[in-house]
Amino acid sequence: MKPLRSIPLMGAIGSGRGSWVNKFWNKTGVAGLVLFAAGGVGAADAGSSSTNLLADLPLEDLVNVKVTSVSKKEENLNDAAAAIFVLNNDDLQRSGATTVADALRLVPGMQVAAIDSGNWAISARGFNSQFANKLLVMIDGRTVYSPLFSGVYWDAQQVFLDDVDRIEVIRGPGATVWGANAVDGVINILTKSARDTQGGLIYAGGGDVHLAQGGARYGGQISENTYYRVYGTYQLNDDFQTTSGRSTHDGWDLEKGGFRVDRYIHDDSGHLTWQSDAYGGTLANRTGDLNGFNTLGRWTQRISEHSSYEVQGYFDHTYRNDSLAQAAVETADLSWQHTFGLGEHNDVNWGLGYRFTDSRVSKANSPAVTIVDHNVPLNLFSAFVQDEFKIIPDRLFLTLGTKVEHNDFTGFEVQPSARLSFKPAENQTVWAAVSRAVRTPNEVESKNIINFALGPPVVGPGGGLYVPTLINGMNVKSEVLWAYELGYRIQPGHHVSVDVATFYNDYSHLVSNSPEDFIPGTPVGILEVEPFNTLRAESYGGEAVLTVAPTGSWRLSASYSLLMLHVQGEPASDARTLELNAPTHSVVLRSGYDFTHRVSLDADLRYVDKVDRIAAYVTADIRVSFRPIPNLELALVGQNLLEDHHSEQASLIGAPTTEVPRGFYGTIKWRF
Amino acid sequence: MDRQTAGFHRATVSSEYQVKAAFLVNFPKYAEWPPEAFAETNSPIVITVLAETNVAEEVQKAIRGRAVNGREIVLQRLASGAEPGVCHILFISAAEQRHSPALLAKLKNASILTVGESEDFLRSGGIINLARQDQKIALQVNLKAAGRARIKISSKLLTVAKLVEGKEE
Repeated sequence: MKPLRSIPLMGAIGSGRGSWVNKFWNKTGVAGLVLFAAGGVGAADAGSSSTNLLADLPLEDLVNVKVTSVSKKEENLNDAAAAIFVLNNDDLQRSGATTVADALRLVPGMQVAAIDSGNWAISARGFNSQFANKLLVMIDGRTVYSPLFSGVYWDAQQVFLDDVDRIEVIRGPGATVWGANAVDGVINILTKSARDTQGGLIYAGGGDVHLAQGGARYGGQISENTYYRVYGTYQLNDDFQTTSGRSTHDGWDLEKGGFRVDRYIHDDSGHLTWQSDAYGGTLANRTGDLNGFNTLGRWTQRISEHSSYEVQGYFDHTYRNDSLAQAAVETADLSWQHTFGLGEHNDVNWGLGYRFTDSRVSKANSPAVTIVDHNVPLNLFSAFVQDEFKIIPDRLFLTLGTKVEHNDFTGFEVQPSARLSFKPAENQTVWAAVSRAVRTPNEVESKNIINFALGPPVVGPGGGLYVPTLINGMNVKSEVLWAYELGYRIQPGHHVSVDVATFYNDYSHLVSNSPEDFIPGTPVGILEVEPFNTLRAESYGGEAVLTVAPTGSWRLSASYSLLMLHVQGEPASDARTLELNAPTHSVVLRSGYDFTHRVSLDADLRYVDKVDRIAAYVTADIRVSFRPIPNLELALVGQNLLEDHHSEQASLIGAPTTEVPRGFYGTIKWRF
Repeated sequence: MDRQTAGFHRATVSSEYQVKAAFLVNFPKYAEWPPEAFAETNSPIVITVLAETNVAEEVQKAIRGRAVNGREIVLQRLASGAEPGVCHILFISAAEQRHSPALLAKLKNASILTVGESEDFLRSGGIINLARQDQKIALQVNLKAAGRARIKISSKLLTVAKLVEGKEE
């Protein structure tokens, strides 16, 4: 026979965890056969690969091994014409993060800055702040972006981290599929099917910053093809401090519980999901509180290899009573999606959606807040269509699509995109995209819901005092982004992958707050400050990720992000603030090493450039994990190790700047 | 998109393709090919897969460093529509099953242990089907097809198989 060429293409991959390298490696054999041989591949630690262990089993044992499901067709990340990064379950576990927000620090290009113990500023590619409004976040297909203030309350978005399948992060616009407010990024947090979380899991732990954390999950079977899980979690987080060591009274706790049921029908071609969560907690050292619940149903049906549809509906209630106001938001959402092949070369995906949101501000907790209207109901109608055209199968793809929405703030919004992906070789992808996305005004900006005092009184005409107060702007329009992106991915060697994404963003109609009229009053008058679309911005930059797996048990990655942002327009002070609130340079270095299949060491080092009023910082986290028996894991985590404390982002509501402290915690986890 | 495969975190439950990959690399111990299937006594055993990347990766992980009776096991990946060259085990995944009737017809008399994972795989002339039953992988064997391919399947494999067709042959 002809000797086989020995190409140890995949030597680095098999360390028994979802490898970063995997997703940069290609799906389709472009030119006939792709050969790779096993002989002398890598220096894999056989003990750390579960597959190797399974392969040691005799057939009579193998037929008794329980299996989870791998979905039949999943998008290959390597081919995607977008800047995508995925944190899988293993990455999450190894990160040592106790919150979704902290886990996102490891994603290249994500700007994550703690404002205090329970508030984060999180965005991508600029415009980061406590009220970052250009990042859309979804949990299992349910939006958690608040229409009230345009943004995400991260403390309420805790999930049972062990049951998260993956967190998909798209930097850049995703509005064609996901709709308005997916301007600078989209985060999809996806939990596992109940079929993949069978059995029990209990964890408990605590430390000096994350004082206590604990949770339990149990998954079982209702009938042959119906699975369930129930879970509950708790976490208690300590106050942070100011630079001078005073407590900022921002400690918080959260209890959350829920269930998920998954039913598979017709040999897995149909999949029904029903899931619900409820949570409650206290904020700011028990002076505030929050709670909420949601229930979601989804039916996905595959009709043929190229055709499927999905129907989803959910209801979501959130309540928050914080230092500003007491507010509740109810959301009901219904959507339909259909995918089908059109001829040999086209895959068409289209969908319709309707969302009803009702926000109520019931009480002002701050003298700065004046309630104008307690209740604002909103309707959102949407439709999208997208076609993936295989110009040259396996080599050149063009995806064209658009979303059309009608919202109660600005009427119709059209958000098209064109994405081109070219694979010059099996191990390389070049992609380019042009897209338009909008950030629709929120209720504070554009509806008569509350007025908000922005600062101390100023001296106005006639020498009287006037409090600058943000009122609603009836004429405020959507902020618009045209984004131009170019990216390249390559796996140059067997253990190395490189992913580079670049962008040029052109923003128009950015909202600023312009002082308008002096309204006299006693004892003080009001200086009406109204939101207007007066600013323009241009930004360019990119993210580069290098992943190296020197051996099967060691992974290293380095990522660098650059953001250059220029904002123009009046008032110049607003333009300047927007420019300054995201770092120009940031770097994340990570290492994950398995000493044996029982002991792992994970470490990261992060550099974040200066932002408005905050100095640049470097910090590091370390996690050591020990598994004396397969079902038991002990972990010790040290966070923000390089300094006693550092600050990351200033508050926008006049609260003192808090410092993120060094912290340690330990956990014990048992599966049964 | 890759699924997490955190083996030691999830020792009791394994992904479907980890288990299927383990079956594939085990089959050489339970099958006997005619001598002409190998050029030399130490020629490698070639497992060819027509499957998605993540499936191929699982097989590669399972193979690593393994040998049976002095024969190294090597993996070869097949593109959709292509034909395998020298090959001893051919695995066709569910996602590629539309190619399997044509491929199986073409390879009917070749000494290739064909392995699939679709309901009608045995009916189309495949030798072993890895069927998912009750959260486990069940073996289904078509002895008639094995006979045509001049491959002897050991009785050990047949005892753990859930379904054996064409026993009389």
